[in-house]
Amino acid sequence: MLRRTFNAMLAASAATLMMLGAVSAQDITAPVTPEEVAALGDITLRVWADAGEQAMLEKLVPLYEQTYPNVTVELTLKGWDDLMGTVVNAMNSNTPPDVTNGNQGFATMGTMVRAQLVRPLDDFISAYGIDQGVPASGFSSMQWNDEGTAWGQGKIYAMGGATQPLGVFYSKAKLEELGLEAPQSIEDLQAALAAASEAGEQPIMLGNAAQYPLGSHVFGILIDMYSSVDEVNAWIAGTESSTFDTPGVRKALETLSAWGEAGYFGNGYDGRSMDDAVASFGGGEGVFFLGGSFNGARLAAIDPDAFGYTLLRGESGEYVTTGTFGTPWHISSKTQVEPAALAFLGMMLSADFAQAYADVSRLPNANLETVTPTGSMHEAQLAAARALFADGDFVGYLDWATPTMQRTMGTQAQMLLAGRTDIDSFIAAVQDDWSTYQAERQEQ
Amino acid sequence: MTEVPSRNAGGHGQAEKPVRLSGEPFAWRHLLYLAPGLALYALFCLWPVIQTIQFSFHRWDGITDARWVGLRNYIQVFTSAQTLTVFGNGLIMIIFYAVLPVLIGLLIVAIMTRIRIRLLSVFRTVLFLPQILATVVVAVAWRWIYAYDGPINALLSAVGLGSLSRAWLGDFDTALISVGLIGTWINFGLCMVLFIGGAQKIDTQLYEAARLDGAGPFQEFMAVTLPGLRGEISIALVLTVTNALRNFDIVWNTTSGGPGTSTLVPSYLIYEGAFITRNVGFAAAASVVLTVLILVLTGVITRLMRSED
Repeated sequence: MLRRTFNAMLAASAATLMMLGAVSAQDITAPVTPEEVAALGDITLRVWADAGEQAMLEKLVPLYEQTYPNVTVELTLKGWDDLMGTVVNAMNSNTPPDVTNGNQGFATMGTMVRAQLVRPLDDFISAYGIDQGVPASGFSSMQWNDEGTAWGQGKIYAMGGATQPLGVFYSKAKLEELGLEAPQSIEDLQAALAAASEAGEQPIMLGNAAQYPLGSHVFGILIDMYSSVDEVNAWIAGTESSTFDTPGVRKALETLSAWGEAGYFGNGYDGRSMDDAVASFGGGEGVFFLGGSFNGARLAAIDPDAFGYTLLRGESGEYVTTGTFGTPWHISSKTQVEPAALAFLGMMLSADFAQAYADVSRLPNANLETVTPTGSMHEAQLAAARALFADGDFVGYLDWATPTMQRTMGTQAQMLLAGRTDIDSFIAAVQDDWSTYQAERQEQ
Repeated sequence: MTEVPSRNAGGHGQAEKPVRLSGEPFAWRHLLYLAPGLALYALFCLWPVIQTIQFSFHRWDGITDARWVGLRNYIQVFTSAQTLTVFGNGLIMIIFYAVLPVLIGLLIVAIMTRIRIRLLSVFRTVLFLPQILATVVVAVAWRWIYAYDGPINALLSAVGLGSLSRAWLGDFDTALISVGLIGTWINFGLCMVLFIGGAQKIDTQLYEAARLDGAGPFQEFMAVTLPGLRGEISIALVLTVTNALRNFDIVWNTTSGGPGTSTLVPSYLIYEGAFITRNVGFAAAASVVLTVLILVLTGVITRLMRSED
């Protein structure tokens, strides 16, 4: 019955599209020209974006509308949770956004690929040269099989504008007071945390009220330090016979637990929001802040030179961290204004526009080598990203593993630090979530 | 429509009111009056309910083809440790969202029936305010109150109880109670206003009679006020119990269900299933169970309160 309804709806929408005669599945071989966009007449380009993209879009939209005067951009900004809760249904509607932010992983990108809601971007990426100067491995989280059931290989369905590696922010003044250098390895960081604690400082500022980022980012950074990149990525991608029960994961959990016991996160972190934590760190509380490079924009706005940022080197001596090309951008497969949508992404991801990202202290994938920083912290972030692009290894985000993993890991990490679970149970709960989902994936 | 002539109404001064007399033939066209309301209700309430029940027997991501899985989603609701915890939390919320507000409301009314309070309407307005504030505002305010560096801990430190201070919403032992008390604060104003209205309808002669019989404040409350408020208590309980079980916004804006799963409630789980993890079938099954639970509880409440009549 349900399926019949869907098929009927599908047939109806297919008929509508045929009537409009607008589904052009044609690949492009060169960038879209202003003439091709002008040929569309006066049109509106609907764009949905995460609120974190606002500063960038405020620069892009006027520039775009100036270059393509027949297009009006209708921008809808949403908070991350709101975006995640609505984007897939919106893309499935008859009037989807032409261009939108999404997220990696099975629940969002996987569903959209499976339902053929997003346009493959391989032709666009080659035509605009977007793969030039960026590591090919960065695309893997946006590559899917045609069924939308496995990622890592296949067509590319999205691209981000600015890389967002997880790293370590530090207060320069406090490190100087403690007589410490910026940490380069996990051993350096451990020593610095102990020294900070000894000196009566709060070693790490954390705001985990939303069960994030302790079980995802902080834990992720530790896993990156102790595990093999391929092993972790295979597990996240749901490769058969992968397991979370590895010596590296155990070592990471032991470290996390020890940090909790030593009081490195201070008091009340489960009652503090992430935003409040960034604000407190910006206001001088805490020696380190572990999290995504995207927090740097807010810190740089407080003082572009007061904080430092570094990635940690793994056993290979290269930087290893969780990261991607950033929040992915998609083009709707149903868009009636495909050339305008391609031109919009083309401009956003171009080398010419990269400085606009840098001006709001972000790390553009394009032109990463030559953009001008906003201050010394941003400069350190750019240097880290450059090194990562040159020789480092990207690890996926742990919560991509299953739709429920964010909740499972967030919950388990809080319980571990509160002494309500142990490492064995933590690993069992996570692996159980993973196995259940892999079984469901087989059924798809 | 034709006005039905009324033969005996004139003498009672109700000539304007059309009254259908027992002798009038039933006209099907009269049902047409109900049609617009029924159509809207069916479209926006009944149809979604039927759809939800239908979804609950499928594995569905909300977009691509759904797959029939029989009772699997329901089995998961009743066997998964997490789901059971979550429904348990929902039931605990009833204590904070329904029982405590009703008790506080009754206490206030009991005091007011004995003591004349000056500026009553001011008090009433102030105490009712939490009910009309946007819950997001309420949640943000309480997040600050409960914060580690918030006023509660400041007060505790000031009186030498600093060792008790904690992030009230981030502590496994206190998070559920803290979230629950926000619900108490929101709901007791509603109960109070309902009960004050009810108490004003109680015949003052009953109080006089009770006092003549030598009843003290407690006996008077038990013999006169409480029985007189039975209808209002029933309404208050139905509203607040429903409110407790469908609680979402306060949890969403304070703890996101944490720490661990200590404040995770059914509506939150349903939202996550339907929109974030895209397990629509499971979310639908949990919704059906929650709806049945609410129907049963409110049914029992109205039944119990009525049977004493």
